[in-house]
Amino acid sequence: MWKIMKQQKEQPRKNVSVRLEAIGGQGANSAGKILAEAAVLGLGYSGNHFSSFGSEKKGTPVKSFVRFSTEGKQIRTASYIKNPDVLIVFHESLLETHPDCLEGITAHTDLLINSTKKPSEIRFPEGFKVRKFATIDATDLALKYQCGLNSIMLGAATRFCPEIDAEILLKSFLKFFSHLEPQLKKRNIEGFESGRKQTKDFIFDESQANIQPHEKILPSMGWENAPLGGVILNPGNTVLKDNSASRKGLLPRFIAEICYNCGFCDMVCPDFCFVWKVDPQNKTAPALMGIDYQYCKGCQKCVLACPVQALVTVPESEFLESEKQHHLFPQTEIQKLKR
Amino acid sequence: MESKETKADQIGQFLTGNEMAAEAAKAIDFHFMGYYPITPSTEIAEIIDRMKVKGEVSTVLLPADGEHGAAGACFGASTGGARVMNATSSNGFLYSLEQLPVQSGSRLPMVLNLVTRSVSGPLDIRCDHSDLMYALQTGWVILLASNPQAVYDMNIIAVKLGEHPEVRLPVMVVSDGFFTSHQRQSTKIFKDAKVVQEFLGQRQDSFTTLDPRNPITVGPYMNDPDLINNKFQLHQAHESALKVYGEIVKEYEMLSGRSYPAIEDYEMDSAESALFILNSAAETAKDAIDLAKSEGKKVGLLRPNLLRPFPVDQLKKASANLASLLVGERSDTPGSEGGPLTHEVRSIVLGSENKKIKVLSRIYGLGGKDFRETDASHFIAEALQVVEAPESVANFGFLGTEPGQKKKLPPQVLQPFSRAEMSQGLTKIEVVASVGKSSPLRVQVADPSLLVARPKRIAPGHGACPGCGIFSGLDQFFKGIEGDVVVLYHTGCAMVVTTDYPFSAHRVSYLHNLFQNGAPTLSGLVEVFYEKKRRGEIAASEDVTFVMITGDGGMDIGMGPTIGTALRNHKMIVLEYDNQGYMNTGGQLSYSTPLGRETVTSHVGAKNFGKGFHHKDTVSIMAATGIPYVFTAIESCGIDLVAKAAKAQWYAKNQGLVFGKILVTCPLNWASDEKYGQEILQKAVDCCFFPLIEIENGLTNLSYNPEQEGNKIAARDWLQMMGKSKHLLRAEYSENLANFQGEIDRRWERLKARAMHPLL
Repeated sequence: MWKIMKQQKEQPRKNVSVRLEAIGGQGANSAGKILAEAAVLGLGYSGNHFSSFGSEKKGTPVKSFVRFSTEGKQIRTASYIKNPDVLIVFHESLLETHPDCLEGITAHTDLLINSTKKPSEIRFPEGFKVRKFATIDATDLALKYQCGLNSIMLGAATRFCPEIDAEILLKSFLKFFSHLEPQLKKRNIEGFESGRKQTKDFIFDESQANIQPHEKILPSMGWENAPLGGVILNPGNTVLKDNSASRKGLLPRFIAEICYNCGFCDMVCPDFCFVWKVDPQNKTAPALMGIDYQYCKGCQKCVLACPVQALVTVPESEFLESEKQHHLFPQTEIQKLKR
Repeated sequence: MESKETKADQIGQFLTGNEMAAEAAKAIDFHFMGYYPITPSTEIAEIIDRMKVKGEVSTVLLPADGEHGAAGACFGASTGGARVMNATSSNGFLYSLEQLPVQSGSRLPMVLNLVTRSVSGPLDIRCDHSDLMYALQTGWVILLASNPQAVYDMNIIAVKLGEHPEVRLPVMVVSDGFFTSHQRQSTKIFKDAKVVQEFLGQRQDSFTTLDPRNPITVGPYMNDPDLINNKFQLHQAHESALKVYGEIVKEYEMLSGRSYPAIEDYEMDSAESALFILNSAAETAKDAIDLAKSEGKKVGLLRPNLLRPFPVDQLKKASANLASLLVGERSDTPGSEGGPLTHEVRSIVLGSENKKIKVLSRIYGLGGKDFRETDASHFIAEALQVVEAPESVANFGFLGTEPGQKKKLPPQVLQPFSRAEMSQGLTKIEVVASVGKSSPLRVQVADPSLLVARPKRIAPGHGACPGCGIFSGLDQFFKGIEGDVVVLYHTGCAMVVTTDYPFSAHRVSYLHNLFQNGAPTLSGLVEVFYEKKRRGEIAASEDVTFVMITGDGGMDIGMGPTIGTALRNHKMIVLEYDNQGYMNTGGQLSYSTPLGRETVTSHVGAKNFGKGFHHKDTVSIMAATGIPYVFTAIESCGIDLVAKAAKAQWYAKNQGLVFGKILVTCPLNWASDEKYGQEILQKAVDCCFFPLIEIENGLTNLSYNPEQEGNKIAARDWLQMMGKSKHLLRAEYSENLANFQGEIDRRWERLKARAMHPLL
């Protein structure tokens, strides 16, 4: 089904729409702005850019939209981009946690995903087709170059938008980062360059016929079944969420042999990740079983709070499945649902 | 809409609606801007503040204590003959609503940028026109800016129109939240601000409150028979505004090459059906009109640039040959079979010579729901169909509602807590004989190793930023609370990240109200709890602790109502998490932000050093209400925080209102390392910026004295840990740093004096 191709010179498109899918804090809005400025101010195309935010947080989904026309067609539409020509997903976990990030994909879409996996290893919904597809391990590169994830993704994006000259994009990138300290600027440029070079093999889909776009995922709650007044009758159902995309590649590791169950970590954790075995009769003291990484955002406060170094910072890539603990909430189906 | 010949040089830009509003403000160089941050209009003040720091604009910026205060400040400034602006959205706009007829009734020009957003509740930060529809009755002129370029142009036109001697009215410039305010498009601005200054001329006033040689009275007490005459003058002003608008936009077109007819008619020449749509959605619909025309359909589009005064004759003329008109609205008037504008449009066209026209009303895009070209095509199809088969098309309807999918509802995941589960005796209070100033309460707090057994009242999976100090702080507080609780959260970070519909992180009953009004809201619930117990409608054995959670922002805009609630001394706890800014809206200064802190509304640069006034002493303000218990705490002194929570619970059950303030980190907006949360807070305490204290029935005690412990440090040691403060350590800011240190020392010495005094 997938066919690996050597990258080849492509015919530039006339009207291009780009959608960037990310979590707040990953810099998708800035990346979209840089891309659009390169197209409009750098190349004189007509174009627009905007993003759809939640509140001003890290960790909430962000969609950023860029439209440009190389033939100068006036762009008036203010709506979101439903069927993108280029779709850039800033973290593979979004495929799980926010499946609507793939909404509106067609056989004309070029897809780039930040992932540790090769393109052929990623599982998609049935009937999934795109024109061109590649992955890049941007999280690892961002750690390596100590730069923003968006620098890597923008570098990689140059290979998906041949209409935008990479040198002009770099200029737009430098303008945006002009206020940064020289060291930080240098690291981001290096990240940009590495993103440009290290995108894994491009894959083209062989079949392009009779493909329906991936349709919008309908909300489960609507006017027929939503409780009146917007009331939520499901206390604590955020446990169904997965916050792991908020991490930047680092995790606290729990070393049980050293731990003496002092509870200091539990006092400082903003995300309630520590899993305790509590005796309902209070005959034995609570014992720390481990960390629920579904919720850990990687802030490392616990590592500093631990008096005996039973918690240490480790790259996420080194983690084993066996190290992952889960909260055992009473009466829930959650394990079946998410794990 | 652009002609080639223009009089003035312009430069190409790629800017958003909010940026264009700020660019216009820069060219106009308003005397004064009063504002209060609210998404999505906040950026306008932020950008002007940044311009000001660079010396590009000299406008006085007043960060008010709420939108009501901002509107008052603008009113006051405008009585002095100043050029004045404001920017707001949604409930902020509604909070200032009461002031708007004061402005228009007093016939004082100013410019308000209304960046539209859905009105709460439930709270939605995205675009619709439900806020705008409340503006229709205010007596203001309303200009509609459908794209970023129009935002710029309309702001300039607004000043000239409002100040025109035949008009003399305040003017609103309305653009769509996010779709326009945050959308970057190719735009043009005048190369030289002088062009704008000359276009506007000097403000001509017949009176001012700032001329002692010509004293005047603004805002008299006026009953019948006079008021109706004042309102007739207002009506006449709107009649004049229609004519003057036409003259001004013509003059502006000569200058800019861009035209803004009162109603833009797009492809209307041979149209038999048309859409009537406001703002950004109308721009999107133009592509659908093009498509329909190419298919031979006779359709066009009407988009008003002017909403008040309503261009009645222009609408009659534009609709004279139409067989159908579909009014698409981003707001409903529930129970009236049509959106609010439909009723105006319908009454105008049905009162025209065109007796055959059918008017349809459609509600779309509420709460920011996207309006796509395909949606516009759907409207076009309905407008055409009603001509062919009138019976087959409903007069009124919603576009884009979803019934939901019962099978895909998130399952009920967690069981409610049992009372026993929440009452493990991890904290215990004993009433003891007080000696001198010692506390009448003895607290026992279990060791942290045992406190982990307290089930979390907030579930994991909430969406706060990594390293957010709110949730570790709140969790420590709730570790100290035994038994059942009901919580109220003010609007703010903790509210937004825990209740993202259809999810809720709260495992106990929770309610939200807007942050002007949380304390009165909870006080109502508290009183009903005790009244229902008295009536036997709630079992006498039920025992609930009521806790209100607010940010420091809620203690600015909600200060008055919280003081009122404290003076009534209801049995409840008000807990403030102070992260020193309006972080939920992107990190604007609050009154609790320390001097010199850099925020998006107090930039650091050539003309400014960060926030210009000292942090608010909320603790003293609340203590002055005479409530039984006031405390401060931080998570770095966790056992102290847990113990104070336990005492707070006792006071709230036995004596009355408790106010507690915890300082919490915001790594995102302090530009600090997430992992150093504990250390930063400890330093804030050790430098005596945030002393740990208790005030029990008026008697002040220090919980921790860094001097006695030999831990006292200078403020600079704390400030250097945060990217948004460390500039104060540079030599050029030494005076500001000394000023800040001086204020800390002054408050610390006064606090120690109170702690030593037997009566204070």
